[in-house]
Amino acid sequence: MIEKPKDRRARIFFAFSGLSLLLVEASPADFRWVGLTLCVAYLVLGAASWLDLRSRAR
Amino acid sequence: MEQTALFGVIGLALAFDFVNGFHDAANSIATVVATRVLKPLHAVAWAAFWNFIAFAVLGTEVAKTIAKGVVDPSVISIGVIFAGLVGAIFWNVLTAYLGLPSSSSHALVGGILGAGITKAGFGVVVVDGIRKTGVFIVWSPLVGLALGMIAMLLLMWIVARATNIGRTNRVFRKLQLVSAAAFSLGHGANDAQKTMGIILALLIGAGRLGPEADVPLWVVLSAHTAIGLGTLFGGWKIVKTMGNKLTRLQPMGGVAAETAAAITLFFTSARGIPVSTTHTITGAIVGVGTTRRLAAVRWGVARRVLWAWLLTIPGSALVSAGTYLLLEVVK
Repeated sequence: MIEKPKDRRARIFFAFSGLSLLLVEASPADFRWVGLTLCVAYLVLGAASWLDLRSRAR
Repeated sequence: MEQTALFGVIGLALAFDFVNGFHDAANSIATVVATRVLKPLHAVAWAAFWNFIAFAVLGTEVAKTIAKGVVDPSVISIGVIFAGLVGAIFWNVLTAYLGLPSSSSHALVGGILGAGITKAGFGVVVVDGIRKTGVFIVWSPLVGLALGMIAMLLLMWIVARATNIGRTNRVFRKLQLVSAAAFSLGHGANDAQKTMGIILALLIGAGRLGPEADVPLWVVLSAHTAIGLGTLFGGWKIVKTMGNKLTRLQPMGGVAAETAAAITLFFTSARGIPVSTTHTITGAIVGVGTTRRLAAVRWGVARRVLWAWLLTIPGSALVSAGTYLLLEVVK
């Protein structure tokens, strides 16, 4: 029996979202919006990937 | 004597730029070569042309960050820049030999940091400049990845209704020429400016220019010429890693990856942020790969690339610190 590769996209995107947020505090004030935008974008990508995985599992 | 040393180090800075073009040539053309849109020789000529043209488009903000935003300009001397360049060139050559797409930009920042700190201690570090460069080490590939994925999803949505697959592929092969040109433009703008920054710092340090001086035109032109020539002689070992080993790309994927990376580079160049073109395009290629499935990305290779990223600044800083100490002993 061939084992299906696990889809870890959602988990990785959520991790990227957290990483982007972590760096907001370390960045100069002018560029904080970049980290916040990345955080939100990866949250959305993570949520979309999770929903996609769930719909395929059914 | 000092004048000879000054011109010698300017020559070395331009050699670094040449090696940078050589090392990063793969970034501009990997996807074009991997999808067989252009033959390798035509692809490097195309990239070199756009590398050169970049001087007219995206300003010199990154050059100012390198000259004044890594270590305090008052400690910059011919010795510091020489040692910094030796550290960066050594690191670039080592990673090119190993086939690792590491960052020339961070090698340069690490080199200057190592030599500057060895000369005058940690107090000379320009914290804001390093913070800006530091956060974008992580953010630039993440921006590239997100934009690459979003661009790919958009394109997939657009072509979903296309009935003639052959024609769609042909359209994307042509579009890839445009996206590769845009990426090369961004690469030329961001990377050539780092050499301009080095030369600007040298000229200010040597008292040839005032502290508030802008980058002279001859410096701009010579930096773009050097990076363009370097790209023309490109590094083929890295082309292979970037184009085929990370993930296999079709023309549509190439367009998405290059467009995403170009947008990131235009933004960072305009805002004076020295980022790695290698990190950016790697992120974008991975982003395109993840739209298929995560298994399409070869994570083993991505992990090797990650190690090269993490080690670049400390590695080049260590070499430049050693070189600076050696110079002091010889003096």
